[in-house]
Formats: sequence, C-alpha cells, structure tokens
Amino acid sequence: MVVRVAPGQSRFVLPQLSVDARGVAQGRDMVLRLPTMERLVTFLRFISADLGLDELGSELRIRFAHSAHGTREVLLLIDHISLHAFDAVVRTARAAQGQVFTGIGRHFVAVRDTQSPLGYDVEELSSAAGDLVLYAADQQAAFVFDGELSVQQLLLRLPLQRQNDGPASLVKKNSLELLYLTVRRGLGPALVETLHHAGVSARAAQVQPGTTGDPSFWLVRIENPPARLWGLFSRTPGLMPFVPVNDNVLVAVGYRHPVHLDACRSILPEDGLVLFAPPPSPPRLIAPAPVLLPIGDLVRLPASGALSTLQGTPLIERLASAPIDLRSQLALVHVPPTGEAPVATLVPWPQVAWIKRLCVALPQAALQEYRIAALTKGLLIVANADMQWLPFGTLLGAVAKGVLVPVGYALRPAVSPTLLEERLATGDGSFVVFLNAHDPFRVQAHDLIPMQAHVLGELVVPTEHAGQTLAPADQRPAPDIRYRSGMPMPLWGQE
Amino acid sequence: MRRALAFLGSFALPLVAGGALPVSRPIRPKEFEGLSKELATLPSDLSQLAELAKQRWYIARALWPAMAPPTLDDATLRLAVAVHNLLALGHPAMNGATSRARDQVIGFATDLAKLGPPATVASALERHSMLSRLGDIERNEHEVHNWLGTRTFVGQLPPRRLLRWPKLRKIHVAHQKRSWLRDIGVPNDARCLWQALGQANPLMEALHPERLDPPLSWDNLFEVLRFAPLARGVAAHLVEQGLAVVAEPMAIALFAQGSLKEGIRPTATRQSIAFGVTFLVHLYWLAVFTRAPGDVGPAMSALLAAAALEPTLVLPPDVRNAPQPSVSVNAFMVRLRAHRLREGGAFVQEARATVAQARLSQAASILSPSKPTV
Repeated sequence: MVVRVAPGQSRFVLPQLSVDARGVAQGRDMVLRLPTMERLVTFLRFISADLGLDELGSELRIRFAHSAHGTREVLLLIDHISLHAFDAVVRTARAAQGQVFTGIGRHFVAVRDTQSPLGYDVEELSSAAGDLVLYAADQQAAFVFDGELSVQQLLLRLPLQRQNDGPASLVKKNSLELLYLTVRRGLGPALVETLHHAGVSARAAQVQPGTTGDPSFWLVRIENPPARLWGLFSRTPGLMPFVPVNDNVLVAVGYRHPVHLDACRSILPEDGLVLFAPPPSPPRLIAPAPVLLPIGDLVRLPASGALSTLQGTPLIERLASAPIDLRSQLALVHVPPTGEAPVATLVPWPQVAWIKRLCVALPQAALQEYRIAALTKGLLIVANADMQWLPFGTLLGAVAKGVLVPVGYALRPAVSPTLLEERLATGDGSFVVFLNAHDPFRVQAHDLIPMQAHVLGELVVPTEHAGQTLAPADQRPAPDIRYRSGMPMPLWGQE
Repeated sequence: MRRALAFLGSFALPLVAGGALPVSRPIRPKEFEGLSKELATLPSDLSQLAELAKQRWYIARALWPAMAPPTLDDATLRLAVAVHNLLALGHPAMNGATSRARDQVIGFATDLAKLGPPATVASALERHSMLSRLGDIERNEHEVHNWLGTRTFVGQLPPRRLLRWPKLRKIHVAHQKRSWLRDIGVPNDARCLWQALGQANPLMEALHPERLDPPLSWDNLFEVLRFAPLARGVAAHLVEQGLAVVAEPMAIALFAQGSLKEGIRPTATRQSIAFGVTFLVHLYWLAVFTRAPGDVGPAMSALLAAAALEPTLVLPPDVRNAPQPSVSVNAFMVRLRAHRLREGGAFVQEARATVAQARLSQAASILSPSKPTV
C-alpha cells in the first residue's frame, strides 16, 4: 500500500521517484485512469481548452486494460510529463472523475492530494503479474493491456456536434477572412468560373480519391469571401463550407469538434489536410496536402489556332518514352481443394422448387442467417459463415470479403484479399460473383433480403375486436407543436 | 364563449390527448380576462369539453382510482394559457421580438402559473392532468433541399409549392422530430415560468425525479407526498421505473435537504427528513418484493446502510412490535443489511448526518406526540 511522503524525504521505494523544488514526489511519466471512453473525451475537452496536447509530454498513448477484478478501463499514458503541465493535468483529470498516477516503467503511485500534500510512496513493490501496477490509497491494482488506440484515431472518430443553426450560421457571421469549400466534381469548374468572374481571390485544386475509394472533389480556398456569396456557399447542394481551425485542419461550418482541435496541432498529421465533415460522413484525410492553384489559371481557355496546332503534333515527339503497362485482367483458374466451406450458392431457377421443399426442414438458425437475391441467372443464397444446409446449385466460396468464385477456383493474379476487396469496392456489403472470368456481376447489399421473410405464405388470422374501451393512456400520440403562420406577433412594450 | 371554447378545444385538448398542438401568438392579459369570463358561462356538455374532461380523468385515475372527473376551473385555464405562452416563445416569429416584449410575455405567464402548492389531492391531480404531457411534446423540423438551396421550417409544414416537381428540382426533404423538453429545452429567460409551473404541479417532479431540470427538491416532493393516496401512487410509479434510475437523485436531494447548506428551508424540519428517509426505505421495500431492486447507486446504498441501524425508520410500528417477525420481514432486513457503510466511501457522512436528524425527530415525537408532523 502507499505511504505519505515526509518533508525532506529523498529516498523512495518506487523506482526513479524524485522530489521537485517544492518537495513534492513525482515521477517522469504519468498515467490517467478513467472508467470509460466518455470520461477520456471529457478530459481531452477540458485540457485542450487550456493547454496544447503537445505541451503535456513527449508522447500520449491510450491503452485499454483489464484488471484482476475483471474491470476494463481506459488508461492515458503521458511520457515525460512536463513540469508546468503537471498540476493542470491533475486538476483536469480529477474534474473528469479520473485518477492520476505518477512513476515510470510499470509502477505508478497516486499523485499528491489533500491527504498527503507531498505525494505518496509505496511500502513495497508489488510482484503481481501485469503490464502496469497502480498504487492508490485504497487499493492497488495490476492491469494487463488488451488494446491500444492513438489519440489521432480517437480525434478522427469523434463525431462533430451541430451548433444552433448548423451550416446556415454562415450567413449570420459578421466577418469571414478565410473559407474553404469542398465541391462535387461536376460543380467544380462552374464554381471556379463563377468566382473568377466575381473577382474573388481564391485558389482551388481537384483532389483525387485516396485509398478509401471516395469520389474525387474540388477543394477551394477563398480569402475574404464577399458576404453576398455566403448564402450561395451554405445552401447550394454539393457545396460544403469549412472554416480552418489551424493550417491543416478544417471543420464544417456550423459544427464543432468535441475537442479543441487548435490544441492538437502535433497530434494530427502535419503534412496533410484533415476535413471534418458533418456526421455521418467520416473525416477525410488528404495526404499530402493538395497544391491549390489560383483560379485564374483554372478557368477554361478559349480555343485558339496555336492550341490546335499543338494537338496535331505526333505523340512520339512529345513524350520521350511511354510507360510500360503491367496491368492484366483477372483470370479464374482451377486450384487444389483447400477445404474451406462454401459461403453462397447460385441456384438455377429450375431447382428453386427444391428450396421451397427444403425450407420446411431448415433449422431456425439457417433461416435467420441466409439472405437471398432473385437474379436473372438464378436465386443467390448467401450465408454469413457456412452454406452447409443447401448442397446444390453452383456453390461459391469467398476469396476476399464480398468476392465469390465457384468452389475449386481462384482468381489470378493472386493479389491480397484486402487489395481485391478495395479494387472491387465490396466494403459496402455488396458481393461480386465470378462465375467466369469475363462476366462478373455485382449484387448490392440492399438487394439481399432475409430468407425467413419469404418462406411464409400469407397468414389469414381473423381479427377479434375489443368490446370495451380502456383508458388510452399509453397509446395516445405525443403533442406535436404546429406554429401558426401569417399572424403578427405581439410587440408588448412597444406601444 | 366562442373564443374560450376554441382555445380549450384546439390547444388544451391536444395538450392532454396528443396530436397537432397549434401554437399562435402569446395570449395577452386582456385576452385572458375575456377567456376567463367566458369560461364561467361554458356549458360542460359540449363534446370538446367532455372529451377534455375524459382525457384528464384517465390521467388522474392512473394515480388515484377514486378521483372524480376533474372540473374546468380558473386554475386549469391559467395553467393552459401559461403553457401556451411558454411554447409561443419558440415561435419563429418571436425571433425578432425585443427582450422587453419577451419579458412581458414571460412575466404575465409566470403570474398565471403562480398558483402555489395544491391544497388537496383533487387539486393536485387536476393540475397534473393538464401538465402531465409536457415532457412528451414534440416539434417537427423540415429541411427542404432543392436545386436552389435549403429552407428550414420549424414547427410548420413546408408549403406545397416548394414540393412540386420533385425530380426536376431535385427536392429532398429531411424531417427531424425533436423532443421539446429534452432536445430544445425551456428558454433561458423563461426559467422562472418553468419553476412556477413545477411548484403549481409538484407531481411532475415527483414522478420524474431523474430529470435534471429543474434540480430535484424535496420542498416540492413534500407538497405531494404529504397526501397518502398520492404518495402510494407516486411510489408505485417510481418502482415501475426502477430504483436504479430514480433512487440516486432522490437520495442526493434528501442529503441536500438535510444538510441545510443551502440555507434554512421552510420544509427542512427533522420530521420531514425522517419522512423522506422512511419513504425511500419504503420504495426499497416495494422494489425488493415486486422485482429485483438492482444497483441502487452509492447514495441510496449509503442511506439504506445508515437507516438499517435504526429499526424505527425502516419498519412500521405494528411490524416492529410484532412478537415474531415474519419471513418476508426477515428477508427484507437481510437485503437491507447487505448495504454496508465503508469508511471514506461516497456519501457516508451525508447519510449518517441525515439519518441522525431523522432519528432525533423520532425521539422528539416520542417525547411530545402532539407535535405536528409534515
């Protein structure tokens, strides 16, 4: 257990515990113990209002850990805690209902409090198994890490909070020095020309899709946008206004991030651009940051004779050497059996009557799990894990998530399943089926419906009407406010 | 007579029965006087008034089955007008009103709502039957997107002309339903009006102690729980919600009531503290024998642990003086004693102080049995 540090004490049981100029015992690192992620977010909100997160220490890590008591908690580890931030972190963590420990390595003791103004030391080091041991006044607990999350990932996963008027608040602003716009690809050239003709100082660039498969879009940076255009920016579908929080972070107008992002400069990538879009859209990370060009250079040029002359020049004279194209088409090849169970089957329509007879014998788990889609080629039946109850039709196995090939076949070239899933865009729950290499087809996720919903015929049940009336206390609809319009409101006190 | 009937039928009836709740401009003092005069001449057999009385009766009987059909009196009209003016503060047309005009609307509505605590069981239930559904009120917001931009309609349906030619004009309408009390909230400048409504209808607070706004106060709870029929109805409702939800805020509010830290309250007597402790223990008794009480929270647990040491607070006299305690009483005491006070634990000091005050009231009542109790 812990013991109080006495005035003048300089030797401690806890490794590398030292005293500062005030005589307070503290270690090099710090651990914050918080019961839930919400409390951690609360702490980050509070601390980012006062300090930059890069001022706290050399590195911040979020670890999930479970103790011997079975509780799962969130630990925030701060390496090389800076002295000037020490008291602020302690104060803020307690406001967020967390506990604060100091130390180094795997042993951490509670920081000073009113009971012990000079801090705590331990009687003896615990030999309990675990990655981290926390010593407090009322208990000591050993924790085993079972997960990790970077602060950057946490910041990117937190949804934005809508402010009062949402995007419409843009038109209520008094002044605006800088505004960013994301523009749908088709609207980009038209908006650039509009801004150019309006004499607005702006830069723009077309952002190509990254690894997430998002469609490309235009990013426009407008300096001192005129107020007459604010309504256009905020209300036009396809345009999304953003305001910069710092050099590389943009937040949608009318929304705010739960954490003060201006304090997270070192956490977010410095060489990219992070766009926090309104929920449910996820944040968009553009790395490297796009090079924005003046819109005067982006407007279309009128056709001229010089250009047409240039277009007539043979290609071989303008390009020194053409790149070698290594791309090849996917091929379906026989492979030795791997023993993996099929996950789907394509039943031709003549055999669908068998399904109808088999449904009576199918167990409830199969009926709940199987999903079906009626295609021109037949009835596609997809299972979550194993198609063990329907052994006919063309049995299909999964070579990647959502990519189905007949059992005994594989796709070549043998690229990784992740790349295959990404290129075939099956991450949204859709399926791409290769019955042969030349004629694959896609089945959208919403076309697959639970099988159990279609195995029942029409059930005719006679209706029994209640003869007695009961108090409809719980069935009554909620009162729904309808403001009447076209009616002058009173101006009491004005007459 | 026509205007009073129109107001009661179009606003008061949906306020109780649900459905479209039309809110127009705030009602002025002169208009209220006219409504009040017309109310006295209204025949009660009109279909709308009969429906309003029936709906209010349903709500009141849920708490006290012996309740007679509520009457349409002046207090009812005052509460309805106060609620109407409170809702009218959120009218989009009020955005341009001056703060002075808003203050006059709020001041008049607050005066109407200041009825004071109810004097009888019937008056408490009659007021509650008008205001019981304030927490259910919703407001729809429609956001119309088209090729020219976006328009938002708050509490109003978008005009049909905006919805014509949906494919050509790429019209998309986003509907959002928001709870008036939880999501929108009472305007900041109308806090006094909301508190006045809460004092006029303390049942609203007693039946929903889990609401944070206004802060739970036993001053208001005593105004309801002093009536035995209402105390039984409230206890049944709270047990139905589950002690895990309601017990913690009630226990913490009782600690604040007993600590006198917030100044001397008129109802913060030792007898009232003892009544509060016995009421919470009674809730736990009901929860133990009707369903699993679950985790009651640290404050309630500390209060039960402290009260378990005082049999006069946890058992009624006939049970306490019985020669042989029944099996159910023994089982209850075992569950009660499972809550233990830990030194340094949360709420231990507050629980001990509150129970000590309650114990003193028991001793005083033995010495002077004629002392009035709450």
